[in-house]
Amino acid sequence: MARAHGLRAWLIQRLSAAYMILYLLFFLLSLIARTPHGFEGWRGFMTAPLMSAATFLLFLLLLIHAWVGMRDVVMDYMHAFKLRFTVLTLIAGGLIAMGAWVLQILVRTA
Amino acid sequence: MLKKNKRPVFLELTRIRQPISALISIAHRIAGIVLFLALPFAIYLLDLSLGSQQGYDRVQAILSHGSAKLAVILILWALAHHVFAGLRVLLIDIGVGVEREEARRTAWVIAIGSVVALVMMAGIVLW
Repeated sequence: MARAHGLRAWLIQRLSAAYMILYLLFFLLSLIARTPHGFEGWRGFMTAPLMSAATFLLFLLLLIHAWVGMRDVVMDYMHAFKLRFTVLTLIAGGLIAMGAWVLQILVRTA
Repeated sequence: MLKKNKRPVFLELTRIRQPISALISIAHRIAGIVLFLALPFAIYLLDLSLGSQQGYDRVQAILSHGSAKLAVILILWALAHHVFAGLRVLLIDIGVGVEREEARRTAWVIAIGSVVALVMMAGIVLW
């Protein structure tokens, strides 16, 4: 992926935020409209094709959003190169691992 | 680089009276970090809940613990605050509420809205 810096990082953060807000609204309204009951209901609710795709996109954007945000935080407060590099690597590794985990969950239940 | 500046730098954050928009901004950042740290636990619960009936029951058992309820309330609070403050930033970016007085007013709305959200979250989770 292209490095997130400057204007591009700013734009990524805004667009992902806008999508996540829409997802949250859609999720809450669906929960209210068709409240799922029990395991089967919950599973059916989350694995409906539209919901499944929307959730996948949500996590993809969420992880990118978290990367841009955490990277800003680390760059603001951690100035020693080694420390900054180590922490950013750990965060990136953690986010990629979480992405793979979510993908596995959604593919398995689809 | 600027030439050597002999003027004293006086930036003690604890001694500067921060306007409400600055406090909201700091809280936005803290909430974001909290949400990042909570993410693996949220994914873990999602994984369990969608995996099997036993996993689903397990999630319900975990979430019925007092300490888990407290954590859920705090995380949902962080989420509510982060979303409200983020929405404010999005609106400012498209030119809504940029002026100082207005920006401070919307910051107050978020500060109060965040407390209301906390009470609501607590109500929903504990009930």
